Amino acid sequence: MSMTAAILRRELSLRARHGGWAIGAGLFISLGTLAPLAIGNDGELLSSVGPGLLWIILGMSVFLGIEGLFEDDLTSGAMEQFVLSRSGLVVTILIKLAVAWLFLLLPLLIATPLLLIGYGSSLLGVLGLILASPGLVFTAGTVGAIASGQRRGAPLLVFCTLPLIIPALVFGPQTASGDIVPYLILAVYSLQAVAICPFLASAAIRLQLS
Amino acid sequence: MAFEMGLQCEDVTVQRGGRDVLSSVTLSLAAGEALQLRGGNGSGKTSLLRAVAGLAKFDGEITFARGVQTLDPGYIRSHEIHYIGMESGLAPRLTVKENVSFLSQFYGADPRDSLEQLGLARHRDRKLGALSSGQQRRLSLLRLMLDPRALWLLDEPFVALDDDGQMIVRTLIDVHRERGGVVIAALHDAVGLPRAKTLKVTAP
Repeated sequence: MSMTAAILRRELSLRARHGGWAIGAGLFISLGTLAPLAIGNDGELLSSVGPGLLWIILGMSVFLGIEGLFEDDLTSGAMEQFVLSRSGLVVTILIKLAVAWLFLLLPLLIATPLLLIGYGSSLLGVLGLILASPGLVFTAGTVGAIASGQRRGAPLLVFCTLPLIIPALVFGPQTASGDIVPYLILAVYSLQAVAICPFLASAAIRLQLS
Repeated sequence: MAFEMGLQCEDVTVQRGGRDVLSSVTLSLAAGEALQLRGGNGSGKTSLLRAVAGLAKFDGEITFARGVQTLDPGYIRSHEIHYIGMESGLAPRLTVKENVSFLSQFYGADPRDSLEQLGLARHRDRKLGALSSGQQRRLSLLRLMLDPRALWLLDEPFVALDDDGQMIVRTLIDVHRERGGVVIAALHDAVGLPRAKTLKVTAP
């Protein structure tokens, strides 16, 4: 138990200092506020396209915020030590992804309601975002683990993850309607990602090491 | 406390990127023995260490045994092997103190005065990444002191260390062997380990 606590504490302080989360949140907030300028002075149009736009921006900020999640530990040799530890690599990867998700979600929890109010859209979108965000982060993180150590890892990450986030893009904006089905689908999307991704990512990291 | 684990490699070859980087190695080490791997750059010393640690894929057989009892390699690799590679395995963005407190919580051991022993007490509050490579290497030895494990795999343990630092490594190795621990060290310079077997490795 104290072993997982140690990894968690290390990851929290590393993530806070890494700054990747700030880039992701910054992109989300700045693009979210700039988008209405491009759409123009039409309140009705903005309130209907705003949420959809926000989901696309969300995907982008996740990619940007998650990029390089495993690089530091791979180059510093820390991953090898996690492989050779009692807790094993999967637990480490799960903690890394969960912490990355936390750091992404917290700033967005403040920014999203403000942006939705600004667009004049339904605040129900925030709930959808909370439900879908673990799925987005875990999926992008896993592709990031596969892409880590490659030249041009970032574009690879974006293009390989885009098809995998389609469920969130399709059902995310629909949460504004208040219908229960999109919420359920987003929750399932996240649950399967959280269940599968730590194993996939740790297999990918092991391959990088060998 | 004493270790009683031995190790056997039979006809171990390692491939990387589709070609052999280490030609067949057969060796056997009993508790308390040390082996120095000799060979030039690219001769496969590191590959052999990584194969034993289970980090690299290999052909052949590596068995760990206590007496006549064969041990589960998966368990041994997560509980009884320390691998100290060329990289420190620590977080360069964290301070020395934070790294120490992580390691001690991670291995569930009290660091006591090990930072003084490693000669790093003065640098407690500096970021690890700001220290010299020799100092980072010294701190990477902390794992060996915190968590007693039977088999140490050391990749160029003396590189970047001054006389004082090399002395620390030698002392650690001696104490470990007295307890029955096994050491495999990859070395390419003249300094060797006392009373150690030597194996010359070559790439095919």
